[in-house]
This record gives sequence, C-alpha cells and structure tokens, in this order.
Amino acid sequence: MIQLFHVYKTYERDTPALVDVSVTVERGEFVFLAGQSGAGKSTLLRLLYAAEQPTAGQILVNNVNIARLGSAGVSAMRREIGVVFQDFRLIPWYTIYDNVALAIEVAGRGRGMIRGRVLAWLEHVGLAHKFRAYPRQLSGGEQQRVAIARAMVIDPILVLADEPTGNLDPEITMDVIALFHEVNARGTTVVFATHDRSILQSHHKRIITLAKGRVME
Amino acid sequence: MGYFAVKAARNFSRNLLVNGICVATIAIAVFIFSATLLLFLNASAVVEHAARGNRLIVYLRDTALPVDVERVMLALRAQSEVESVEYTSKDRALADFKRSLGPAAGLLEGLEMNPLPASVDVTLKPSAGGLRAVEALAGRVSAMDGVESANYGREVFERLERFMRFLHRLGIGVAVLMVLAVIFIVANTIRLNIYSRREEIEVQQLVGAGGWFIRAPFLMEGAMQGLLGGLLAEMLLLAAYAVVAGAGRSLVTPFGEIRSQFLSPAALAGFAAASTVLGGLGSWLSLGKHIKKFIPQ
Ligand SMILES: Nc1ncnc2c1ncn2[C@@H]1O[C@H](COP(=O)(O)OP(=O)(O)OP(=O)(O)O)[C@@H](O)[C@H]1O
Ligand SMILES: [Mg+2]
Repeated sequence: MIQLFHVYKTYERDTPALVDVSVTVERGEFVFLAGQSGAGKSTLLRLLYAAEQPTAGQILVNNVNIARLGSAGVSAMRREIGVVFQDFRLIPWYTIYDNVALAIEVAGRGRGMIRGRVLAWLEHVGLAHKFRAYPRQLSGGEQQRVAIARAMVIDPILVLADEPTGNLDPEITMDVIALFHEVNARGTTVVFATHDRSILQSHHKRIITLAKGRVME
Repeated sequence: MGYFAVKAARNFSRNLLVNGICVATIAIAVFIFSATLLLFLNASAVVEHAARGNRLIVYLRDTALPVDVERVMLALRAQSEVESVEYTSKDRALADFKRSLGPAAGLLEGLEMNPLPASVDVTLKPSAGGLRAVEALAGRVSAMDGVESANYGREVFERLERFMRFLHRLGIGVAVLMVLAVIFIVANTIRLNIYSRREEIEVQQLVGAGGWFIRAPFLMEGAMQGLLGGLLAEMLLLAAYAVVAGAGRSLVTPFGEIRSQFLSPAALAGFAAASTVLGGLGSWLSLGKHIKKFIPQ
C-alpha cells in the first residue's frame, strides 16, 4: 500500500525533517508511527497525502508515484484516503452532518446515498442524535469521533492518523483506537502516529520508530 | 449547480454584514448609471417630440401696415404644408398676457404703450416633415416685409441637443465607472470571504475537493451579490421615478406635454443580468489572485 524509497525532506534552509527513509506498509496492515516530538511523524504523513513533496526519494501510495500527480490527481487520491488529526479540523460553521457529508460530496455522489452513509457512520460513532449540532457544541472526544466518521465514510483504502488521541483522556482514547482497529479489520490500511507509550505497549502491532528523521525499526 | 447555489446562499447569509455592504455599494453604482440612462431616455423623448414640431410663431413689426399683414397671411395660407394660420393683434396679445398674469395684472396698469408685437400663429400639417419643414418655412417668412422674426424654439432645441450630447458622454463615463466599481467591490468582498473561510477551504482540500468544487460557491456568491445589487438599484430607481415624475405623468416642456417613461422591462432585465455577470467576473478575478494561497496549483 505504501512504499518509500530513500525519502528525504528538508524544510527551507533547516535541519532535515526526514533522512533516507525507506519503509513499506502492506495492504491491510495497521502500523504505529512512533517517535518523540520533532522526530518527523507529521512530516511523513504529510508526504503520504501529498501536502508536501519530498526533497528526494520516491513515494508510492497504492502503487501510484505521488510525485507525478498533478493537482487533480492529488485530489483524486485524497478522495480514497482518510486523514485524522489531533486538532480534528472540523469546519466550525458546518453542522456535524455537513462536516461528514463533505467528504462524499467532493466526489459528486448522489444525495440519497450520501445521507444514508453519513447517518450510518454518525450512528456508528454514537453521534447520530447530534447531527444538527455544530462542532463547538461537542466535547473534544465527540469532535474527534466526527472527524473519524468523516475519514471513514468514504470507505478509504488507507487511513492516516496524526496523534488523533493527543487531546483526549485515556478512556476516550481507547474508544477512538477501537474505531481504527475496526476499520482495519474490514481491510483498510491504517497508519497511526503517536508518541504515547501506553498506546504502543497495549496494542501489539508493528511499530515504525522515527528519531531525528531516521527510521529505527 | 444547485448544491453550490445553496452553499453560496448559506455563505452569503453567514457574512451578512460584509455582503450586505457589498450589495448596497453595487446598488448605488448601478443606480447612478441607470438614473443617468433614464434621464437620457426622457430627454431624448423631448428632443424627438420637438423634432416633430409643427408650430411656428411669426412676429410682426410694429411698423407693418395692414397690407403687409394681409400679404403675409395670404402667403402663409398658400404654402402647401401649412394647415392653419391665426392672427393675434397687439391688443389681443396684451389682453392675453394680462389674463395670464391674473391678479398681478395691475402691474401693467401704468404701461403707456403696448410692448408686445402682433403675431401670426402657424400650424403645419402633420405630414409636413417636422422641424426641418418648420425651419425652412421660418427662413422664407423672415424675409418678408413687415416680419420681425419667426420663432420655433430653436435656441431651446439646440440647448436640449447640447444637453443630450453631454448626457451621452456622461452616460458612457458613468457606465465605465459602474463596471469597474462593481468588479472592484465584488472582488474585494470575495477576497475577504476567501480569507474568512480558509479553514473550510483547507478541509475541502484535505478531503480531495477539486479546484472547481472550492471555487464555484465563491463565483456564485459574487454573481448573487451582483444580482441583488442590480435589483436593489432598480427598486431604488423606480421609487425615485415615482417621486420625481410619477408613473406616466406628463413632463411640461417648451414643446408641449410629453409622457414621462421608465426603463423598459428588457432594459431592467439587462441591467440585472449585466450586474450579475460583473459580480461573477469580480469574483473570478479575486479567486485568480487570492485562492492560490490555499489551493496549490
Ligand atoms: N512547515 C514546516 N516548516 C519548517 N520546519 C518544519 C515544518 N514542519 C515541521 N518542521 C520541522 O520538521 C521536524 C519534524 O517535524 P514534525 O512535525 O514532522 O515532527 P513530529 O514527529 O510530528 O512531532 P510532534 O510529535 O511534536 O508532532 C521538526 O524539527 C520541525 O521543526
Ligand atoms: Mg506531529
């Protein structure tokens, strides 16, 4: 699903964020991306959904070289990938329903189908009754569940999560991770970045560790 | 299309103050232009009416002898384009003038002599050919013995024509300003809206929205601002017209009474459409310039 070959990333005139990273993630795998703050976890994920271009090296996502994608190709690729962040990134003036529906609407699908799927996912994360509410009316954990519903509602082939539990208390963290396990069980590849040791220890999955931009697997 | 229109309408109402100011400013710009056009339209109706003029007043010299008057009358009646001829003596002229003064007529009591000339009122046949025929006849009559002058409102007509040329130039200038103003106002408002919605744009991109998916609501919003501004301007214009001229009321002019007229439905529709297109154009220009920061090309 993901192949990186000798990837380097240096932000403008800075010390490198990624150095000679070569990693493979198989289809259907669940991997944790570990490493201390500043190790390059977010940078690696941003390369995967083409928010950044690598300084050197090749990246294949679903067998497509993302360096060769034009902006239309990047958009098309993102419609198959779900991304979840620590800070949720919900649109404040969209209702919960509209926030989730947006992910399908960008693909220009029919309305009836959108409604059914959005409500099914909101039901699944336990927020169907709040579909008319706005993000600020929800707790952090609830907002993160909305963001996860948005990522999952498109039936993504790949889910990228950048410390999605960073702002949540331990109990809710378990619920959220369970959701990722569940979509993984249905065949979606998951890359989950975190620096929380307790998460890494309590789930027996492959861990890719970054330190100062290098892979320490 | 409907999806984006709903989105644009929602965005519009979310930023009601900024968008409202934008619409009001567009309305002022369109109002100024359409008011100039309306003025031009009515003034040209007066000119047209005047050009169809069929009246000539021939003033006679005080020294003219009755035979001269008789000869002038006969000559005028002999003209094929003349329909009727009516003589007004000096005394009649003074009496008419006194009557028109009403209670103020006492002012004329001390008058030792009658300052008003005798005159002949000539009406031409409708088929005569309008102002040109009147002008030609005036030229011939002026040369006759006993005739002081032949008046057919020439100065007023010429002044009116000059005013029309001025209005024409003004209209073109105002039109150019209106076009630039609407584009500029919308472009500026859309710029503000792009920045105030950058979170939305970023999330849209994250979930794989294409450039058009992101741009379309802004384009429609600009067009909507143009349309609303145009319609508001037309309502203002109609209100102003009702106050100033009253629907269908007559305008009193030196060439007789003329019915005032409002812009045609086609012109009104044209204004609204033009304003809509200009709004869309303003939005498009703004998107070209500012959305790059949020959508990598
Ligand atoms: N946009 C940027 N411009 C310049 N430098 C950046 C940028 N983003 C990240 N960096 C640098 O790249 C390095 C890796 O950052 P990155 O955000 O990938 O770390 P991280 O592992 O996600 O850390 P954290 O756990 O704190 O989120 C850091 O040294 C950071 O300062
Ligand atoms: Mg990070």
